Amino acid sequence: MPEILQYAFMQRALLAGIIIALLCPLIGIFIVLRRMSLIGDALSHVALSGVVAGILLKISPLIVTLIFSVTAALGIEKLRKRYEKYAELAISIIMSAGMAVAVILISLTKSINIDLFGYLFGNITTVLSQDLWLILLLGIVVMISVFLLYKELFYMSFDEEAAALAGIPTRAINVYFVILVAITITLSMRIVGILLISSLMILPVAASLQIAKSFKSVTILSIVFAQISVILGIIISYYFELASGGTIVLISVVILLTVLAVKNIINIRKINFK
Amino acid sequence: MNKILEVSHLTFAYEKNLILDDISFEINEGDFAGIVGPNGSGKSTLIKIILGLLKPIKGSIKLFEKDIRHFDDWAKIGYISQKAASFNSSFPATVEEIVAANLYPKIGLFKRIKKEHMEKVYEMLKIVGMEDYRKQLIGNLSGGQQQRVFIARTLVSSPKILFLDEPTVGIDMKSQENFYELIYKLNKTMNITVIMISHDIGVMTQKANKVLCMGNKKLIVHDSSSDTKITETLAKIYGDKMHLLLHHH
Repeated sequence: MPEILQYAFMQRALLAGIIIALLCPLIGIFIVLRRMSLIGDALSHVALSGVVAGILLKISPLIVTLIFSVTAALGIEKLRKRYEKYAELAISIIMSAGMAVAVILISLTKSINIDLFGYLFGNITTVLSQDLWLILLLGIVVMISVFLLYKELFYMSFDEEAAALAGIPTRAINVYFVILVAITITLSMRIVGILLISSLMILPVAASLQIAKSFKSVTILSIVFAQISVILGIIISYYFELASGGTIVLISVVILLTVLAVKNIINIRKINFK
Repeated sequence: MNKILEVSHLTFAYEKNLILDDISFEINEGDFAGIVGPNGSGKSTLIKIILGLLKPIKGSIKLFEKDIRHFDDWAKIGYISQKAASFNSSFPATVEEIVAANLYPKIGLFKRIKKEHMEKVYEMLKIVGMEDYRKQLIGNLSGGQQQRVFIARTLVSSPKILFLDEPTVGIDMKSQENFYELIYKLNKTMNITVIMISHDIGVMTQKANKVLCMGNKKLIVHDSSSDTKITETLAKIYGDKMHLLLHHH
């Protein structure tokens, strides 16, 4: 067995990583196509306040964050209805509120907790076995939900008005979807870190959009890119003692740049050929 | 003849701005109705109210003799909005993925798409002449081709009535001509009732058996039973300086 797999914490980190590298792009596709890219950032700011509250109250930060981010997600959906013409405003309001609460809570802790850094930047050594169970359990819930609502989410991303008219219960699905986003963010923060979660939702999708030939292929490619980023990122961060979140996201950026470069070269060749 | 749509004493306002003032009309099965009128006369608003997307202040709407508030048979209704022409053109979906989407409510939540559904998609793409493009990304097609795909998407759920909101905006003349022919064919051969908003008054007066003229918050219906000339009504709503030049499509 390779050295990296001999430690229980690394096994947990890799397993958790593989699960979130399935969840993030699956949710990310619909976030990107529905022009909601900022929702990941807003909910991760709220997640930060959840983590600090958990540390302060000495309750599992993962559980507290889950409650905070799901509540915030429902708040975004509610505000989105109120500001129909300024949908992004709802996201900004929740982002500011989340950050404000987090800052106040951090000031109450008196000193910056070491644990907090792990949540902010991602730390593979800190995935506890109870965390892994929660990631596994809720991860399966999110995956099954997306699998079952895949076709409805697709239609709503393309044309929400037409989907509603065709009889799809768009309101209920919208609410359920933001809850899925909140759960995914909470589960991912141990590995990628609060500050970089939304990148793992966006970057693999951005890369696959450049080369995909259908919606199905966007889905498959996004998952492949996310898996490469996370598995490689965890391995590299282990051997070079780097923050896992940063390493994973940098690999995603490299993948995106490579895809763009290869596509450019192919396009130039096509033009020259013609 | 079966009454498909009945609008009575409909009044609508955006906040305090009155848009539609006490309008009434009927559409029967097999009608080809054109809605014409200047910008801002409430044409799109009217369709959105009929489809339940906006709520009126007063009046009633019946679709298939059922009050709109209790109507739930949306598969009977097809709608192609102005927005259809200005959708996110880089959306990564193929033509057949887009068309199949309208079958989703029928297939039901949590169920997967089957072979027979894809056969229906193919059949509808054939009707609009787009079957060879089914594996292409929707964004790679021309405006006219995209509009045909949207028609196929609507047809796949076997609608009885088709609402079209300025469907030919941004499409070249030749494609517009083919598009009107296609809609006319659907109306005549498949007996689909059509209600179309269009600025192309010439085409509407030729193809439509009813022309709903909108302006000054009112609506006047023109059909074979009308005793005034359509040019007179149009002059009223567009102003006296308007001349109707008929051209053949």
